[in-house]
Amino acid sequence: MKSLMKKTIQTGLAFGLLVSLGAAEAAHAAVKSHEYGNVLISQAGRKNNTLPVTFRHWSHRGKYTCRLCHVDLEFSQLANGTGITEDDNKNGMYCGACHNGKEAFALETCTRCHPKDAQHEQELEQQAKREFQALKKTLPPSTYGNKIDWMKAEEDGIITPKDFLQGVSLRRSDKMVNTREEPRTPALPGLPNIIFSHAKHVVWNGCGMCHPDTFALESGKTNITMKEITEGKFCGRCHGTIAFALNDCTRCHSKPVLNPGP
Amino acid sequence: MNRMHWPAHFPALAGPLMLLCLALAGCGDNFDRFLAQKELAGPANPVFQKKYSTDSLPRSELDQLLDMALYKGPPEQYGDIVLRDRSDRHRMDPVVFSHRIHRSRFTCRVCHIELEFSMKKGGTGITRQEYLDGLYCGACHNGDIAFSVKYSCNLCHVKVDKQGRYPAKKDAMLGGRNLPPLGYGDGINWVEAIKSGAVTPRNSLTAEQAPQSMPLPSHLQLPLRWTTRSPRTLVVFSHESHILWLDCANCHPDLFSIAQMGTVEFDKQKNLYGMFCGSCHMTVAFPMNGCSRCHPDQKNRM
Repeated sequence: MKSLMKKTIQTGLAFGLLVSLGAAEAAHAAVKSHEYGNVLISQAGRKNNTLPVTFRHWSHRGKYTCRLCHVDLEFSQLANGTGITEDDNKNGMYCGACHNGKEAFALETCTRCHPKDAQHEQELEQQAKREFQALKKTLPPSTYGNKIDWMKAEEDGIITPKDFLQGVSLRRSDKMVNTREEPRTPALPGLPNIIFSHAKHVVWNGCGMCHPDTFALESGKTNITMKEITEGKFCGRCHGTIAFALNDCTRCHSKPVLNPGP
Repeated sequence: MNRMHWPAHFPALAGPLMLLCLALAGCGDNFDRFLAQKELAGPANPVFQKKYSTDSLPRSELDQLLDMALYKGPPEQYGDIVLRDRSDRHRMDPVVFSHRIHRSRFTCRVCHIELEFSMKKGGTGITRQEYLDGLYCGACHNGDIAFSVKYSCNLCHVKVDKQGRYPAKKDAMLGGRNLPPLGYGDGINWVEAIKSGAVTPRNSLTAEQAPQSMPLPSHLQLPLRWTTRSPRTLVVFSHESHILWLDCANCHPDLFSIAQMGTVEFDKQKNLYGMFCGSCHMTVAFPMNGCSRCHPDQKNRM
């Protein structure tokens, strides 16, 4: 009886370890800087029995603004939410808008994105990791996410992301651009105040990435909690997946409170 | 119709119900008395009542689980990681990494945030080319901060026999210091060591990556107190002691939700299986033999 019980516990322990290892992998998947912002596009793959494409935000965001793909090219902000097909790409939509042999490498070099088999997938990953490390050395460092301070890189002129694609984009009216800094007081006493800068967001996002879908237009009308942000709502739509990580507390909570309340 | 059934069911239900009520009332009393004895009790430091969604493991089984899961090896080898995944493929001896030696010089966050070491064994996938390029181990083992990865291979690549035995890693500096002792785990009370200044580990490799001082919100500055399944046991958790070694990002929001009592399914079993606190407190940080460090009213288990 005792040995049986012991065996049960041992099995439980082994199972538990397996579960926990799996959980640890999932939880810490985002920690690797070269994998931060990667999106696995597997929708078409499932149907045609091919391996999923790994889309790497870091290799694109130095060259183009977020708005160009997510507003002008109509890429969804949800993984696999766009429903890209081969025909779409060939007709110059989505990836095909740039990957035409002129703006970027042509669609015909399939295997630069589509892995042939599991081994090739690993090779692509290793190659991407090397390219990422080389890129990282040229850009200002940060502590979390990609460990690249993309915002500073743009401000310093090291990268100049394109915001206009001939034949796709419309000229933006600069009169509409809001560059206000908006202070917000966090709900918890003692936390530094939040400074939200429109100017810093507008460079990458224009207006349409956030308004009016994610945030109401009227100032202070959107009630945001940190828990919701970690669940991928509001700021968490980009921060925590692609834009600087949520761990980077002081990037938003940036204005220390001198006399914290009781 | 109802009236006819009511007397028949009443005695069968009433007994257990009344017992349950009595038991709950009793628990509450004990709990209040327990709180009153503790110095941490006070209106400024509330107790967070945890609601459990899963069944508790029977006491006897938990005992057996503790016996099997808790560390009983030599203190010098607690926290050692034997990395043999890639070494085996290239017919090298496995790498034995000693947390005990490294943590007197660097905090956890240096390696697990800045250098991107995975918390899962083998999860980093370190290659020779990468550490020669100054990534992972190579960030310090460059002949500048620590001995170079290009020489003294056998300081890391160690012969491990089939039973998994190997000579314990030695550290002359660690032995020469008067570090506060501990009766379990790796034999050193690291929290006391860092608080007393016996060790002064670096908290950042580069100035740019130095942790930004994010002040803890007022209600997290005092140790947090949670209820457990047992009505007389309380858990005390101090953010302050953890932040000496860790970055907020080591735990939040991946291991623990940032919402108050938002970490669901958080119980002893899962901790023993290596989840939540067990991610560190079963392998590297003091092991769960030191019951009283979290449950102030419990005896330690050797």
